[in-house]
Amino acid sequence: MTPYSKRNAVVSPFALGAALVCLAGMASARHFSTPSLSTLGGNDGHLHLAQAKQAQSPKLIVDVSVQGKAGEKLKFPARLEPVGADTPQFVMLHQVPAWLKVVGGEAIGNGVWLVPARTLATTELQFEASAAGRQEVVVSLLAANGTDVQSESKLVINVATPTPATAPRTWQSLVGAGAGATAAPSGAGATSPATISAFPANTRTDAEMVQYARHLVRECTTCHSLFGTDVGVPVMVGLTRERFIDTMNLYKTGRRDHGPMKAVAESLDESEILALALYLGRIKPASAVAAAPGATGAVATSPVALAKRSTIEKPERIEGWLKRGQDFLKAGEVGHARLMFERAAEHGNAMGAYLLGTTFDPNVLVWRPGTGLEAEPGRAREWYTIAKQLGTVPQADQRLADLR
Amino acid sequence: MPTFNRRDLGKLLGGAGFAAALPGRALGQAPKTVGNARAKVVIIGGGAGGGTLAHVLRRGSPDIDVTLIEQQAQYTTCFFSNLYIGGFRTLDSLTHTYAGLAALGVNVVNARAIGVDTTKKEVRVQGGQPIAYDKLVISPGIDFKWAAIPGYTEDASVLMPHAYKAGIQTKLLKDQLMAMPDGGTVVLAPPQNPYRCPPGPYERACMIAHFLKTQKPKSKLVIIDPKKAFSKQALFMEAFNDLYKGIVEVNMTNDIDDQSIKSLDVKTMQIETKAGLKIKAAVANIIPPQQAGEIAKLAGCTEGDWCPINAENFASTKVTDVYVIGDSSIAGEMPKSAFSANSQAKAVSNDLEAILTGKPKYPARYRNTCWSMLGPASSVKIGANYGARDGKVAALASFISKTGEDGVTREKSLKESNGWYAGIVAEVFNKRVDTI
Repeated sequence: MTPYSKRNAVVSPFALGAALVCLAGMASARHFSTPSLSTLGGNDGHLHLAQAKQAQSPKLIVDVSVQGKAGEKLKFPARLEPVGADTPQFVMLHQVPAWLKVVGGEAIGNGVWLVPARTLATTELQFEASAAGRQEVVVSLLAANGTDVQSESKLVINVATPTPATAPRTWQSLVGAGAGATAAPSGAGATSPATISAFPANTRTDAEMVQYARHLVRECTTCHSLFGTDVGVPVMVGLTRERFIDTMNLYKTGRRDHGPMKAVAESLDESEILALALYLGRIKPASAVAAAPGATGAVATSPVALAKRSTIEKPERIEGWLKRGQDFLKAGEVGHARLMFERAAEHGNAMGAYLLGTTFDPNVLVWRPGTGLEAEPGRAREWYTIAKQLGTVPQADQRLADLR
Repeated sequence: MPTFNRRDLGKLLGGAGFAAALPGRALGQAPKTVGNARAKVVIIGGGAGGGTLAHVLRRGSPDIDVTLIEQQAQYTTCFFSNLYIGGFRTLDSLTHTYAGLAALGVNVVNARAIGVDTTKKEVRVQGGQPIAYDKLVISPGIDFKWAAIPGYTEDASVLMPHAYKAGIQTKLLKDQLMAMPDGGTVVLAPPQNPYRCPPGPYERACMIAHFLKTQKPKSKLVIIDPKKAFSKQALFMEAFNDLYKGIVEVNMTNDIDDQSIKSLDVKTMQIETKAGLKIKAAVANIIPPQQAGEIAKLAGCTEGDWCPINAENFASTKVTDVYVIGDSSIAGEMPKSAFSANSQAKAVSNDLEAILTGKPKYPARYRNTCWSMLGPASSVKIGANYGARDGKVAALASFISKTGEDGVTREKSLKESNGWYAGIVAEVFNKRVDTI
């Protein structure tokens, strides 16, 4: 049998006084006006507790909180200072939830664990699969006699909601439900799954956001096909998250002039747009050509329309697209490069149109063998012509001449 | 309407579904949704509102039994039917079946709903057993007020078609236009507000004018309008002037002249307005004033001509467990349009799913956009976002095409409207449309 009991861990007014002494120099005293240890969150994220009488003894320093995931094993976030003190001491934990195991310690009662102070550094917390929620654990440092509580602090254990491990499965299942019978999410597992851990504020759980995206997307499908076919209304599925958000922002700010889409974009906040981007991005169009990277449907945009677009977009942003496009080209990612150049061209950038032309130009493509793409002289010519209409690109004339 | 409706009662696809629900209801008790019993949603009307609701509800919550009661086995959409008159669409391309919805597991009952017992919670259908519901959604579209224009009865509409419920009426108008002599006068009489598809009569004017311009160039179109103004007026007037100069004559009502119809004679084809304008028509397209579909009235949902609803969820304010969507509802600032009905259906679906399956209820968000085709390569649009404000459906942000837009923009709008048609048809009938 063990001599320790829960009663030993009760905070005495004496211990509290000691804590105040220790903390007084670290933070403004008004933080500690209430006689409750749980309010003693130090500004540095730690609680330093020690008994003033035994200043020579090691102090137990415990983190305010620790966050883990189901199935995860974390280092016990506490240490003794100074280390190597030879007085045999124990750290006792109370109110430990059933889903948490203290590896290196010994369970001595219901939710009570005992850890030898010497092995504190190698002690770990094992989150069981059932781990969920939040639990406050009381961590006490016992005196050499094995019964008196020398110091006490609280450690908040948070269990993070599942993120990448489970999110892809969720997205796949919802895509299956939302895409209709024939728009199978063929590539769903092939690309790296979009995680939904990136929602701006954790005000909604992932599952709730998925559900909400599903609800929101119903507003889009009055006009937009989920099958990935464009019969007059642009394809909105299978786009990268970035492209979707960019596009919505172009509408929202009016830089892309379209009444209905401006109204739509304005009615959606950032997290709603992100939710839609993730939901719709996971739907792979049945007709891959329609939305595959590099399928520059924008060729259909007439030069007149392109030229009419003013360059309201920040120049540095357009320069950024051009640079990224060139980086993609160097990496052999012609499809992505075309997207970047196309976007620049859509904003009236002549160089963007010119560079887009080069990606179709047989005279340029021969310099980069192995890209797997075929030259399309017609398109090259078209984009060079557009480039000339949009601005001055001296190289365009030469390239056009070379194509003849 | 005349005998266009094919009431094929042999195809009671939902027969097994509602027969199973009959035991126990003799005592007048509606089936409860508690426990394992499946909640039953019954929808009357398979147009833009009802079809959309059946579709999204089925997809969203397969645990709910969805029955769609629609009297026609095939449905020709009123939206885009003007394009058939202009020669830009075939009637076939506007006609759809309910096979797609049936394949989703919707009980499609091809029968006419003839009454609703809101106490027993069941719908009576012609030639079939009553159909029990937990929640009923009425989306019947419009009916005409036949007495409103002197002389214009349902019978008269065969000789002077309204073509404002699509199908045989639309074909009738087109046939009459094709048969009329070149040099004749076509009369178009839009209705008094409120009516289905506010820009519809004026898009029709453009389509008839285009037909005359290309096929009967000596003919003209005379509009006699009981209103002082109409939707997208500046845009349409611009089109009449730019595209159809000398073809379209517009007679609006003003403070002095009332251009509503005083009398008409289907035998002599004489029409006279209250202002004294007399016209002998070769073809007369008379669109009568409108009211909620009859079944909404029979269910006790109407107040005056239309059905008041709760702006948050389109639940009837007159009858519990009943919703009214689409043209029949009083949707505040939302116009009566297919897009509106489609949007309202989604809010109702969310409400029903929240009530019947415990899913979250979100604030209602409604939308509408109406495209109007002006000519072969030209379309304009108007629309808005809507939300519930102070108990009413109010416009939040709106947009409209500008006059003087270039051809590229107008052509883009036209292409876009075709894409919208494919999109909404995919939703209403669960039918994939990849080409125009």
